[in-house]
Amino acid sequence: MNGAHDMGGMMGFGPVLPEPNEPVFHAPWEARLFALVVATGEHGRWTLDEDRSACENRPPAEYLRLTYYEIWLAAFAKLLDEKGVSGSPPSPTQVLRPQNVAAAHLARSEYVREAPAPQKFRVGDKVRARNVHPTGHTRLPRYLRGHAGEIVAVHGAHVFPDSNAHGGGENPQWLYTVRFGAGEVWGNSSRDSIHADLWEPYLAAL
Amino acid sequence: MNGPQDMGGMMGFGPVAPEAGEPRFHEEWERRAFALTLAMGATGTWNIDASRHARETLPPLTYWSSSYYEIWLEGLIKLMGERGLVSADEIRTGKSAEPPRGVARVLKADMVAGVLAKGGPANRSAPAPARFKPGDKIRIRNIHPQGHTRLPRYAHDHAGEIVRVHGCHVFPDSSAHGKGDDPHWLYAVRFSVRELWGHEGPDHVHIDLWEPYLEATP
Repeated sequence: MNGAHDMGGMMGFGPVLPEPNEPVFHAPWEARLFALVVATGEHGRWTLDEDRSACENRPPAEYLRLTYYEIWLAAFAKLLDEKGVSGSPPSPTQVLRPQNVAAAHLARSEYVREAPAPQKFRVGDKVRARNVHPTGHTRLPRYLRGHAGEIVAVHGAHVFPDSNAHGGGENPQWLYTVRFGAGEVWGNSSRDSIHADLWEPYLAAL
Repeated sequence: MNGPQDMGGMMGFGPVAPEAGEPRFHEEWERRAFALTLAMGATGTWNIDASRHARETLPPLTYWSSSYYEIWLEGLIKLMGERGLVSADEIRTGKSAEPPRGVARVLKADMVAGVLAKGGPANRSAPAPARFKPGDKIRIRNIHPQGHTRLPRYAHDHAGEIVRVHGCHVFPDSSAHGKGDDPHWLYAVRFSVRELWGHEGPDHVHIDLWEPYLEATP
């Protein structure tokens, strides 16, 4: 969806003020929430993509009003409400014990899958990001749509967020790093480049 | 600027719920904010484009959290504050702390009807012939100006067709920033929804666009 999270190219937010020695958490509740979200993720009631979609799919003013972990909390509450936590308790293997945290976190960060079809593009291929405006979850930013770029890396087939966020299964698709000239994207004379990791269904051959 | 007013194509705002028998003003203060804004506009201290730009440069969170007339009021406070006509303290206390500054014109009650009827025509004589005519195929430039513009983001880089020539008009992108009227030709441009949004459909979007936003399609 073209939500408030899709901020690339938007103006008027004021300067970015990096915080010196920024702490990982600004308040104890943030650390606790982070732990709760990770531990509950082990129950397998929702996917990472559903979680992201729950963060992003909210009224734009609300999205801007909330801090980073306030958004996490709002998404967490929404998922608990939608997916239910009542009924059967999690099985013992779904309960995250302190000694398993590191291993479980690593295992859950793996999104490479077996490729269902040969890759359509190779490094050096020219592509165009499709002009699509899905109302569901997507990781194709609005500012790249319709623009031409070049494949610079092939990451293998990965879980496709646009499906996985909506109960459509993992539906693995090839994932590429695509380089766009900043001049192409923003219509100026910049020689800078933007690199975006984009799934094959977002791209058309040029 | 690509600000919060440029909502075309954005999602997540929820359904549009038209209000049955919608009143012109929902609260008495809205009527007053409207009158104040028009009266201050009539002083000639700024033009309509500067006024629009003041509203559109409100922080996105403020803009999206505010009602229509709240945005008008915030815009007015900003325009007056920037020109030293009111201080933050005066806004906070609601009391005048300094002697009033003079303005070029003052709108008296008996002048209101006449001024409103006269309006503020934005058409001007043409400095050059029109570059396009109805039926011409054009493409919208991919430009992202930091200042005021009336070119919506969703039309960038898309192909359309000129369907009407409105004549030569004040160019908001210049006028909003004190750079004079800088008149340019204004056109109604038609786009297919397929071109803009990438899906099939019989609908079209018509946008009034100034000549500097357009380029000929090769």
